[in-house]
Amino acid sequence: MTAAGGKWQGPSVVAGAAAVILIAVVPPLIATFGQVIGAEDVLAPFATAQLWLLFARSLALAGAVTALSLVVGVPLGILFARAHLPLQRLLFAAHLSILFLPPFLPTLGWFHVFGRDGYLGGPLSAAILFSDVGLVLALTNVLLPAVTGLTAIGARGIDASLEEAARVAGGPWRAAAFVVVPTAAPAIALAGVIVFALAFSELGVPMFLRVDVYPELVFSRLGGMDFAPGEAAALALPLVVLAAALLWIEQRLAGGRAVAALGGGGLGVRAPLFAFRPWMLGVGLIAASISLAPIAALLVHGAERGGLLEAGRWIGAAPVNSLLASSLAATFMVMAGAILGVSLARQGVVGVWLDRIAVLAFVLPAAILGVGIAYAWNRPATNWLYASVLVLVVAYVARYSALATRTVAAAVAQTPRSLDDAARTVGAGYFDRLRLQLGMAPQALIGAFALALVFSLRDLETAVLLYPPGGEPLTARIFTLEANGPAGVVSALAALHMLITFMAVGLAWFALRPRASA
Amino acid sequence: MIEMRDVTVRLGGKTILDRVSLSVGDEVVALAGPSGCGKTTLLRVLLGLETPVDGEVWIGGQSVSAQGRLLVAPEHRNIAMVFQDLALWPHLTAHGNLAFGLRARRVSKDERERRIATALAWVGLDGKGDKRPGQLSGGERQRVAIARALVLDPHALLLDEPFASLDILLKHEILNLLARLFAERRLPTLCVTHDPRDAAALAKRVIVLERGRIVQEGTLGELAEASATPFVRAFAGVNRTFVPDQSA
Repeated sequence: MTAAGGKWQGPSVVAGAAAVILIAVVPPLIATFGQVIGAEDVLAPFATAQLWLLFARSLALAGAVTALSLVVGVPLGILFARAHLPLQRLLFAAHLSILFLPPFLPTLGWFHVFGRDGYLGGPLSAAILFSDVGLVLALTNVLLPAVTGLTAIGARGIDASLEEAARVAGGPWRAAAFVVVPTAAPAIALAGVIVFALAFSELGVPMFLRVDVYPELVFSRLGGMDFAPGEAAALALPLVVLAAALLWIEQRLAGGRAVAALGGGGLGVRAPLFAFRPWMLGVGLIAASISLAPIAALLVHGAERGGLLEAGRWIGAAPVNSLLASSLAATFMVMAGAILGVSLARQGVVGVWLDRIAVLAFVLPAAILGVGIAYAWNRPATNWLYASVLVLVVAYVARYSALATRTVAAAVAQTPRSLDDAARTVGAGYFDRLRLQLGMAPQALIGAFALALVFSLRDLETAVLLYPPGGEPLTARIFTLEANGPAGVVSALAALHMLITFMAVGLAWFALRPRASA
Repeated sequence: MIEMRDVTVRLGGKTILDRVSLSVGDEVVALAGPSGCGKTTLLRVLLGLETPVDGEVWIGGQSVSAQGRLLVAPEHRNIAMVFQDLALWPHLTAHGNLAFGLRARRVSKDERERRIATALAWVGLDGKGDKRPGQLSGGERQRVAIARALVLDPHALLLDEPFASLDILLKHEILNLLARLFAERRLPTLCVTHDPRDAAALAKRVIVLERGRIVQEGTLGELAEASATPFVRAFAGVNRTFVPDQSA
């Protein structure tokens, strides 16, 4: 027997959550294809070898960032997760901190260190920074913590006895290499896909370092002298193919297994895999320092140039716009993610398919989403949305909703299914069961909100294409000022951005901190 | 020979094992006790996964932990364990599970293959080396776990509730396998169990642990005759019906 009126509760709520994702993601894709079909000479740009070389070069650069991040990040993740290290949490948090910033901010920090007139700079260091090598290193610096963090979560999540059996039979190194890493492989694969997608999408860092990449070509067709919107849509097509390939890889190597691997249910009580060695502390300190150094450089630069005092005149409404759009988007993402995450955790058809759509949007280079959202919503009937900060909300929901859904799913997947079955047998309705399942994983909602908020705050690639007049978010403000504003003010605004982000992360950290059980 | 002398373990400010002393020669000893009494911690101390704050642990005539220090790392103790949940690595085949420890010990390939083939044959799994744990039945997985422990030719064997999740037929099958093992190889073995029938089937001597202390040891008959605590009385008093096949 079901609760009164319960028959339609589930489907209608899931449909509502699905609508949030679909409305954000599908119209831009349809509109992009519509533009391509309607445009003349749509294939003309693809006839030049130069374009394909640029595409291949962008793939190679993103591939290099991914490979370097995996080579360094996997052992580092194991170290942070399974070694006994003094100041472990502090070092890990410091290492992760850079991931929550727009990548071009730390790059700006490195510029103040290694640029021609930087604190440690000279012609050679500047030449390296403004090159392909500099781009790969700068992006690896920012995206490496995604691999470290997901590897650490995956390594902590494996069954304690699997690790201990390997530890006893083969020692800590073999246990880590042949049991912990393979068991955490879905989480590591997910990290690889995320790093590749973010590295390929990145606009701010390559534009700042003057390295040509394919998404920049699409971006250039949407503004300035090269304005050609039909061509921009056509140029976006190879990116759709790339995103489909990334989705296929993600589903094949990670997918549902990553949801389980990231749940962290297997931690149990176990001793660290590696006993403390001084060199391990050295590695942890280096990992933390490399994340903190560009942030510190920005702060020092901002203070030296008097930018902190002047920033007020240049700031405008950018912080308010950022916080407003990001928190609204995060709220939508968590509301939809809570419902779809539960469905995904229980392998519900709607949850699984909506997750695929959301992951596709996440791995889709941001230029496509930006182009598509402009085509889809820039119409008289929807101008109220397109000409307001709400367009950023749509863009953020489209791009980052997978983060909220996956976070909730990973937590719910750890709760026994029998608990839901028990509720069903006593006649609980959909809302009661949803409340029960989310009630067993309340921290997942906080984590999902924090992730969605921080990734929306750090977004530049979609925001820079779409922000309305007067609705400029802080990332776009800093990015445009970087080209023609006072350097000290740029550093000061960057410091403000970091402050807002770290306050959000700090609040989430505080809410998620382990508490002593009663 | 396994020996613990006045071993004390504290975790999170709580005393889990309190001056525990025991010795296991070339025999099978059952370790019983109520939930949370420290049985699993005791096994973890022997494995080297926990370090006692006090006391000494000796394995095969060598001191491996003493006075709060780990003298020999787990991988060098040559002590094997069959975990309660078996802990078979799901991404490796049965062959891969057996090969893992041998590779770590740098056993040559020919010797490794010979030992794996012998161990798999001994547990009746010839031809199943290429199967992953997920492709094997519950009984077959249990056999792989036993073979994985034995292929290393260990100084001692630890069994953590080896029958906890088995149905009666599988339990009978595995009991016979273990009975054959102990008849063929006189291996110091400590078997954690909560079932007196299993203890009776495998071990002559039973050690009872309660609240981190050994409260009594002896044969089941001795425990039943003069029980030191209500738990011992309940444990030793249960009707014991299982007898392994004499042909095993």
